[in-house]
Amino acid sequence: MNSETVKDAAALPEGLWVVIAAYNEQRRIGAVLKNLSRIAKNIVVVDDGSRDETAQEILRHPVWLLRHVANLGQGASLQTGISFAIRQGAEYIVTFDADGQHDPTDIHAMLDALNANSADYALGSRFLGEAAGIPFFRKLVLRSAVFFTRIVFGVSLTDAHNGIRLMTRRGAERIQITLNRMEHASEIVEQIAESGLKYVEVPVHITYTADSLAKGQKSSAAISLAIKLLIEKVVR
Amino acid sequence: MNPSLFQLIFVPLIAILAIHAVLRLWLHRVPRRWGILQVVAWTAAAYLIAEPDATLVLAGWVGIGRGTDLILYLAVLGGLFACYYFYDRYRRIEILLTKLVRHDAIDCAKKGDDSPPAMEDDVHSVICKG
Repeated sequence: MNSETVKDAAALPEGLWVVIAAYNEQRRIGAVLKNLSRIAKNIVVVDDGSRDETAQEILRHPVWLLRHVANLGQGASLQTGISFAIRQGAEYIVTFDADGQHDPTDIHAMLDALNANSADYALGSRFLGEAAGIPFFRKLVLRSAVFFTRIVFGVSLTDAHNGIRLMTRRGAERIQITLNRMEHASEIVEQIAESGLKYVEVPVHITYTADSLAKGQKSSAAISLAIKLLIEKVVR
Repeated sequence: MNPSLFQLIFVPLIAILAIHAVLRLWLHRVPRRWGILQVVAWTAAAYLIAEPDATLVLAGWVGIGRGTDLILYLAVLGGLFACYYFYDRYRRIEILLTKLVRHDAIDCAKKGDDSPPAMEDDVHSVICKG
């Protein structure tokens, strides 16, 4: 993420809220918030029971901090942030990762695409845009997730597990994440499809670093994730 | 016919469990329906171990050739039911816990930097200490 690019970017609309889930992100969250707060007025970070100084770092920035007293998972944290943003009167909500992989300036393109297509969801796609430094195995797993999403949920996307998503208030109100951990990405896609509301995919830029890859979700977890999703689909 | 070692160990053991279930039901320690189910299950288990040929009769009634097959089918169905039951309970508890944690997080929202706190009433300051 180029901080100069962010500095030059226009401010996002007042009614737009950025929701970030953070767990043990003490070292990275500061830079993310510094860049984001240059363009976004309303940012809410959900500290998901971090054991480090993540909360203290967040409070150094002009953003809202919500703290989970126990670690629940990224899905639960995003839903907490989305519920809070809706209560605060958000017109648009963006979900954004805490590890610095996303580029804040992509939000402008997503907002333009959302409005131009009269859609309720704009979903970031690294495969339409750029995925700098993506390892081969991660790419393979993400492509498999795309195939899985098409077969199981009947939704055709080019990138089914991208953390940057923009939704209108109406769209956000239709999302109720109940799968607390990483399965939430597929659950969101399923709920978007079930909502009947329009969605568009927008090219975005993802930058992988050794640090973000070390902290991020392990590709090997994809199989257990798929099993959990299938169990949930059968049992529900 | 002399009882086998398995029967000597398990029939009394399961009979004790059946008596325990009767006592718990008698003393209203378990919901009535669940208590009756436990008594019936333990009594049936003890009887079928003591009289293995009885499964053959039961199997014949439901059109399954062998008693062991009947027991196997029932065990598989029971296992699947138990998995479903406990998964459902686990999910309910997880959803409840998530709601509680979320409620607390939203109620105790803080604004960083020099911004004023979200809420300044006494209840908030007591609940959201630290």
